[in-house]
Amino acid sequence: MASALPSNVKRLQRRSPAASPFEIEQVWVDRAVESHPGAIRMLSKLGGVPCEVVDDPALLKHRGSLSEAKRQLLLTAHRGGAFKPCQGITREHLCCNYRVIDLVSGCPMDCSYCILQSYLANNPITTVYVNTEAILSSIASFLDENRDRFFRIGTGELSDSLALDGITEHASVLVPFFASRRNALLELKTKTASVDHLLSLNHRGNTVISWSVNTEEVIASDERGTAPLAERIAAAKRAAQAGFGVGFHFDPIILTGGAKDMDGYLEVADRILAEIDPRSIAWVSLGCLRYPPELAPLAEGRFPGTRIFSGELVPAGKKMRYLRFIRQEALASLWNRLAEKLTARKIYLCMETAAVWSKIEPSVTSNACIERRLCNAESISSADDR
Amino acid sequence: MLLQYLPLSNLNLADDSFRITYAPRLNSLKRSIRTVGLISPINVRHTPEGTYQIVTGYKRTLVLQELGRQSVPALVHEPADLSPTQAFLWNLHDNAITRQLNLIEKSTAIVKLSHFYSMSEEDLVKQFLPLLEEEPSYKILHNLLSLANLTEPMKNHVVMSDLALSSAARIAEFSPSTQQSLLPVLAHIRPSTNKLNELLSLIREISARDGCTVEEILSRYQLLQVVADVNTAPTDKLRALRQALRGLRLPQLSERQKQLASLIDSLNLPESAKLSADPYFENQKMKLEYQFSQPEELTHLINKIQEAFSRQQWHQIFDWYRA
Repeated sequence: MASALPSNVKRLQRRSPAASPFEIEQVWVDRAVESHPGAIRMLSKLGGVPCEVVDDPALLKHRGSLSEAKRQLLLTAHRGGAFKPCQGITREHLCCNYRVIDLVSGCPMDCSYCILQSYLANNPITTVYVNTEAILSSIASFLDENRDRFFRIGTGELSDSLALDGITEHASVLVPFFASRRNALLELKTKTASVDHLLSLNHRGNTVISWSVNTEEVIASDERGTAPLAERIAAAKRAAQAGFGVGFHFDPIILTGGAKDMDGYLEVADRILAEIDPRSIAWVSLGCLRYPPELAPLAEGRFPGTRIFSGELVPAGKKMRYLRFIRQEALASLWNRLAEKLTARKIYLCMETAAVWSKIEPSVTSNACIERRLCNAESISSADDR
Repeated sequence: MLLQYLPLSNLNLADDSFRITYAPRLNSLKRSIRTVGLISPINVRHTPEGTYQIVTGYKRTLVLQELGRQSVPALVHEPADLSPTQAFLWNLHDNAITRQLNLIEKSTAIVKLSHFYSMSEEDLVKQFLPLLEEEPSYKILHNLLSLANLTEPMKNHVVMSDLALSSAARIAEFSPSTQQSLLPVLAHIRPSTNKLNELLSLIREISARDGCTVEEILSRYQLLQVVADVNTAPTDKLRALRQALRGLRLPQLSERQKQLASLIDSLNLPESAKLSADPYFENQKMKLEYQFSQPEELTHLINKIQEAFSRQQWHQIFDWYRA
């Protein structure tokens, strides 16, 4: 199956210092991209990591230890549609018509609640797509064909946007690409604090760097390998000072003790709003824990001490969710707290039902409403922020 | 191999190296031996130490012992002619192809093949699970292996109550002391597999959420008393236990469901009318079902609905449901 890489590639590997804070133990390279400049560039960042070329990367797809798979990388080309509507867009929820780019599939961080544990169970090796030029070309065509519409596009659906950026350098390609577009915003969504390499990029206001946030307790107990809350907020402050729009995703909100657990989230909101100028905040999303039923046994098997599934979670559509009344109360309290300092148009609920929206922001009745609010929010003047 | 009549006292019954039999039912065999005698000799392995290990025929030996016989016809194999692995496989095939093995016997077979005879997981799944009449699945393999964690009384309960593998495996996740506490509760109910799995999940989840032991939960909420009443029908006991556990695990949901039931009752609809809603309050739609064969029955329903409307009760339900 495998053969050694050309000697010049290995020589390059040995020269470079480690480019990722995550321990990568094995790299697989799809023979089809062996000579791709992207693959060669990424390999040069992976100093000394054992590397093998594979003729058929599909052979690497099998159910196995996710923890081991997270320490492996496969460099290959995306052969399907890497640019697509967010999977959250379903008939059961109101969604923001977000679109996603899959440049990496899999994440070196290890959050107990991560959907990728079940979603990528049969293909757990972290996969990096090196054919970014082809992917960006398809996005450019799409944006050109839809000049009359505005799109929010992110890379953080199947991975953390920045966790592997020291190796992939995707952000330094994406930010200038979106800087040149008139009808799209890029969102780089992360739980790292690694933004300093982006701060000098010319983004022309078209990139939002956003952070998934949680309480310090949840971060400590269930978000392995992520940056502490204070570091995330500090990184957001640096990004905002560099002129980037910043975003925050209170997601997943975990309510083991019911809506009274919201105190911790209100405190996080206060800390963010105390540190970050609301005018720099492009959007804030709120989403309570939801997951397909098969995730819980997988996650509890991997993390026996986790308590994240202890709340009052009930079947709702194809997922488990907190009882609607609990979600309403929890989301309303956080929404109201944020709205004290931030224009409400910048706040949205992620994958929430029309029924819950109607209790929190009755004017939102469709996906288009959310999309409109968020796209406008970006250009809202400072006078809108209290 | 030599056919010999061995004194029963020469057989080492405590040596279970090749045995998978658990909780054997001997009555039919006893009747048979009493009637026509022992038809087939047992197989034993003569050890270098001079003892005899039973390879096949453990149940026959037990019956002969119970019947007070002194000797047993046995085919005696020398160690060089029959390796321990061969001996175990003889026993396994002798049992698996002639009768339905219970879960503990299947588990014992798999555990021994894995731990003592070093069979790979792949071989166990592909070769041995089909022999045990199980699907060749790794999940089933791991569940069977997990049953080794059951206490002896719980193993006995699993066999006597004919529990499903999924339920037994869930019980095996509990510590021995927890299993000991659960046993009296389980002994009083006979739930379906789905119901039992739900009960076990509820117990485990309450314990994890509240940070207390299962024993504490059983005692704090007097759950044993819920099922121990001899005057209560088994289905009622099960319903009461499930309701109690769901109330503890999902208190707000249970309370809301009670409130909705009470509001629906207050509508005073005809008996055959059934107003239902999503039990989890997610879907906003309600459903009213009514069966009737006469126009008067329909009129009766309409009148009842109108009465409830005039008392504002429908609005009350909608307002409450959509709150």
